[in-house]
Amino acid sequence: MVCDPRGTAIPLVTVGGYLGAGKTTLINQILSHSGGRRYVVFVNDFGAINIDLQLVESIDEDRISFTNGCVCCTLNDEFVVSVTRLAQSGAPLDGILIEASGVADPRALEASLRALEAAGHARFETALYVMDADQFGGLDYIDTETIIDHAVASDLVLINKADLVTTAQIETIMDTLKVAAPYTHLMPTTHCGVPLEILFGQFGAPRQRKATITPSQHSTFFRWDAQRDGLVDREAFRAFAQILQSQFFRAKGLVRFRDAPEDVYALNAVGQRAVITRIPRAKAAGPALQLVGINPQPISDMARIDRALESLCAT
Amino acid sequence: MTNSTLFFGGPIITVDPDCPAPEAVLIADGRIIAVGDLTRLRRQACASVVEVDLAGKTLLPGFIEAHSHPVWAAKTRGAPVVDVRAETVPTYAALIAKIKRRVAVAKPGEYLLFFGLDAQLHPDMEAPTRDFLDALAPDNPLGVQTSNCHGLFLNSAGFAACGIDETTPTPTGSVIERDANGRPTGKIAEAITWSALETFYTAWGESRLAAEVEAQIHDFVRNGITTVTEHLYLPFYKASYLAALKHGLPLPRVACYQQATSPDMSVERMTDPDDRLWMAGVKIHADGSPFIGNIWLTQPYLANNITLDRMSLKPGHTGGTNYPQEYFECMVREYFAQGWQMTVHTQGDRTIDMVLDLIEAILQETPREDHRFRLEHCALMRSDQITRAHAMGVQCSFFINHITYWGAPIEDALFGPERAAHYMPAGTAVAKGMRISLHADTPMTDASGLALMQAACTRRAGDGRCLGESECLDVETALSSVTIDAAFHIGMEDKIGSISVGKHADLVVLEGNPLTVALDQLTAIPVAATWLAGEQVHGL
Repeated sequence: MVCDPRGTAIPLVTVGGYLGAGKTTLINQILSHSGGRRYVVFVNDFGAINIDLQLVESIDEDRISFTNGCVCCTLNDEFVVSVTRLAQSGAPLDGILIEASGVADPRALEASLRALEAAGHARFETALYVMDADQFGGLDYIDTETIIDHAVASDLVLINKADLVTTAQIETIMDTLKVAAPYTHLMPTTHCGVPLEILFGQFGAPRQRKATITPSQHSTFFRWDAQRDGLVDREAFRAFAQILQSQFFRAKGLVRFRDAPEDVYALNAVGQRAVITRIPRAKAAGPALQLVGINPQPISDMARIDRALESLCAT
Repeated sequence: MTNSTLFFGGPIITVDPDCPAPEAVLIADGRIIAVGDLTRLRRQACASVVEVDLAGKTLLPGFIEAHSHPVWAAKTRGAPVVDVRAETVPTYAALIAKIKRRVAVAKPGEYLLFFGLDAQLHPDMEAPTRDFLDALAPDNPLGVQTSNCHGLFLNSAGFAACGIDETTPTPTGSVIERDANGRPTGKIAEAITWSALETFYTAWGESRLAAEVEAQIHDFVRNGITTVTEHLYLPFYKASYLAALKHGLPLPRVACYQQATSPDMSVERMTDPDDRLWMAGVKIHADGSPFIGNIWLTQPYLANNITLDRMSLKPGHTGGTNYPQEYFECMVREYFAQGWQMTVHTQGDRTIDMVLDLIEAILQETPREDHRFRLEHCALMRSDQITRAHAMGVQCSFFINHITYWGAPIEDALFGPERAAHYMPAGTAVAKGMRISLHADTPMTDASGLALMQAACTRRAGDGRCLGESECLDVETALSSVTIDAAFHIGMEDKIGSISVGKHADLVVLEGNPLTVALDQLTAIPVAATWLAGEQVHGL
């Protein structure tokens, strides 16, 4: 766990996966149902972007702007420069999504992402990978291993097109991936139905309030929340955050520490990462500890989290 | 003057105290011919000079990897070897599942090799026995090599293919684990590992090797590395290198150190007027890898499930040397007497005592000016040993990436916090006046000058902890240790390692300035371009 001094960086999500797995479906959904949030999406090819033309504000050679504030750009060598410009423009931005296909390897963009993080422009949130459940069983050895290796390198794998296969087939894929990629979260989906809040870690309301947030259609997600009044011990909280991180796909929250009661910190945990950041100029108000956890499946050992929370508040 | 290039327009770090930050650098015909004022260099340049505006990027001398194994890395990690290092295959259960999937599609008799089993990083690791591997793969020679390269687990078909059975004597400097009847039980270690693996590499043929050597070469130049060593050189490696040069591949300069396993090997006095491939010296293993217990210590390993169960060590284990002391001494004396620069693999402090005693004796009997006797890796070298080594002119090259890759288990599982705080004691060596080098020992860890610098400056393990703040280097020293001081360690400080007039035009262009970025962000600096012998070999 690291403390990120760059609390204002734009959250960034990469989407990997083979052609046809469902990446574009996901991107189309995000662009058309952004729910008042403003996203910038980088894609290899505009051709597949299929969005209601009424939403399009303008189309340039390398950029489509939408009336809802979202922007779609082509991913090219200027990627780092483009994101830097976005970050420096000061316009409010809720997230960046990169379709990391072409080579389909989620690791390919690593150097660019590290440079952006180093500059404080972006905060790498989630490495998402989309795979085609219907095709997986029929792949040869090399393609199978490639997808498995990509799954290991990802935070969340959508086992997409789950509607095209049997429950038993999904279970076989899940069994393979649970052994091969034990630290990766798995989620069977149809049409890449995944709520944006699981990809991007905003806490609280979107920064733009032009539209109301579309109610989530994903009521099947397991959610957990907790509030406590007392200030907590910083070291004990770090240990607790690791438990949350190990149990939930995403955990986020606000916390105030005993050694700095006036400062507000944000916890942001996704996949294998957990970051505790001081929020600059935040006002200390409300409960000292506010936590939310989201997971594709119910948490089997909730008692452990409850115990850990009680002992955190007791220290 | 042909093939002339003029660099300007960004920070230039020469690592040469005579002219540390010039405005421009002029190269021609593979050499640096002028360093200084842009106007003066423009006047000096010929009409056909190509101007390279760095546009704010930083120009440095190419990085020098002081201890690596390019051809051996290609053999060890290149396809069809299956990568099972913990970064791609996070658990032992996942590793076994991967082996099963590979075996399921194997042709009968096909040689199967897996690289990267790790007692420290595969949390559920068990040492695979011969019988276990036989059950997984009854019809194929199968080997699982440890990520530290020093150990190999074989099934019965693997033992048969490598010609190792109950009648095979254990070669000096090697380990074959056996049952009461002398039958090998699965694990072999040290020198015999590498000869057994050659059976697999040979079975896969030459074309496979050429492709993997090429991939390895590109890995180096992509990371700005313009000189490497082949630190386990064997005569039959030469063909791979000559082929790479003949095909015009951007092979970094290669300083070869022949591996000695007996005192009677012939070492070719290979030289090269272009300084692309030459014999620099002889390498001998005094001990082995700390990750499998094959090092010699004054204080024992910690006793816990990692050391006792996964590494199969006994409580109180203090290890030993690879060769009987007399045999080892005989080898060192022999090759030293032939005039070679000696580099000796030493990890444990007791091993280092033994080696320093020997060097002292040899230098008393047959003094040699500027012998540059090198100790390699130096994991548990003590402060008093650094003082002693420095006084004798012995050089230390530190395998600093151990901390990045295995820092947490080094402290928690192997040696405890006190020894971990001075593990790879680069800071102490520098404080006592040594010129040190750093290395990645590829294939053990990935080669990158910036990663070495970051590891030495931050000593951060994978989980974020710092192993011994007092051993951290400042960034200028770290840069010297992957450029000019590494050049000194391979005896090439007058030809490479800094941007100085007359030296080879080996250069790297970085997107950011390594002397001004945060120390934990050094590896985030992209390598924009690499120049080798005056030719651009990487970048736009």
